[in-house]
Amino acid sequence: QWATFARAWYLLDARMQPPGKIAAATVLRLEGRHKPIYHALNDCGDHVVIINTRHIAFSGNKWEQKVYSSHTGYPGGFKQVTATQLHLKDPTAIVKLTIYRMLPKNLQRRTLMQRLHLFPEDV
Amino acid sequence: SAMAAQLLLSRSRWLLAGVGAGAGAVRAALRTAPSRDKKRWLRAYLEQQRLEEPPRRRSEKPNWDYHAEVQAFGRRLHEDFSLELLKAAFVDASYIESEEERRRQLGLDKETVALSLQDNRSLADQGQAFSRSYLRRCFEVAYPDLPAEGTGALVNFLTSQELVSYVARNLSIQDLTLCREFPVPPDVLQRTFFAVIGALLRSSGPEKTEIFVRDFFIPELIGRDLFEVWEVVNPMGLLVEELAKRNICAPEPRITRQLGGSTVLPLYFVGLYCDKKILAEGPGETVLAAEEEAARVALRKLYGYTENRRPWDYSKPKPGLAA
Repeated sequence: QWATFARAWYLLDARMQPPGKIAAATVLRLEGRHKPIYHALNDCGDHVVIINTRHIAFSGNKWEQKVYSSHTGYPGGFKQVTATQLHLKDPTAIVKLTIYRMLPKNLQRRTLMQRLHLFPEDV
Repeated sequence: SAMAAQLLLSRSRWLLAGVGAGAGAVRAALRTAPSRDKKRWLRAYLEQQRLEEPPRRRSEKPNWDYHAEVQAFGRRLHEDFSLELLKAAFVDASYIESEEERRRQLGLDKETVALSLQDNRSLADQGQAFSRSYLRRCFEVAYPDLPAEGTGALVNFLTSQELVSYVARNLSIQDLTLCREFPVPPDVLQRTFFAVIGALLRSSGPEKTEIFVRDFFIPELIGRDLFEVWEVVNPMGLLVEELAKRNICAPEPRITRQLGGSTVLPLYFVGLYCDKKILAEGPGETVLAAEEEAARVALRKLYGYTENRRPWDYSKPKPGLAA
């Protein structure tokens, strides 16, 4: 029927939530695995809007101990940033990177990231 | 059947392709003397000839014994038929006419032999009337809230030409009917099937015939929705009438969920509420389509014809056997 194939929009509040758990639930819905009509070729994923990403909560000492690394490509460009520093620089980056790394590593990943919408505050 | 013939023809073309490739490969690999007995292309050619010939009656193909086949038909269905009635049920009017014409052409004056063959028309009328009344009684017992047009639509669908001819074709009635044309047209198959039911009625009695009709007609409703079978133009009006009969107030439609209103694929869920209590909810492409679908869902719930109703009880003869 018409309703079975519609693309739904989900709203998720990330206040005081661990980003890993948020990402697990989001990835499930972005891929469409929560639907009985799921198939990898079906394009049955939904949109997910996450609000309050500025107020996520890591458990333990991860704010100081978790390190996000990247390389600019130029020599001597290896940067290592703690979670706190990254969060201060860009409040949505932690959630975005967690979800990006949890999605399946195929060409669909970029389209699914386009269906993800992140907002640092409640709007 | 034309499509099936095309698919089968492509199989013989595969064999022909095998011929061409095989011949080329053999020539490239080693040079042997060509065999004189059977050529490679023979199998493909025979296959194509077999598929291209026109369809013939089973009675014209080898290994056919009419009497044995009629007996086997009765045994297959686990039913006791009186054989003359059953043989009379398979005779069609067009067959009698074509036989009389043939005899006239051959110059025989004795047409008494042809007249001794009885038509299946009376048996067909009996069988059709019986099955229609029985099915109507069944549905009146099973879905008491369904109005007369609904049960009439269900019965008409079950006794329609396509469905009955489909059931008859799969019970090998096409092979047993004596008819002028081949393949047998669907209205002849329908008449013959009802004639078989009439013959069963005359041989075994109404109870066994009721079980037979139930076992062959009612499974055709599996997987079919009420409104596929019954054309309803204005479900909302019908729903308002039904609720007025049950003294419930008119339904109030509200949008429960909506998605993508300004896109190419919008989705609206409209819920119908009576006195602030939900009656039914239905999806649709526009708000109007969603409201109509919600009305249909509500009607299905009221008539008890939902997807999750109890499946039909085939275990015992139905209690609706009014004498």
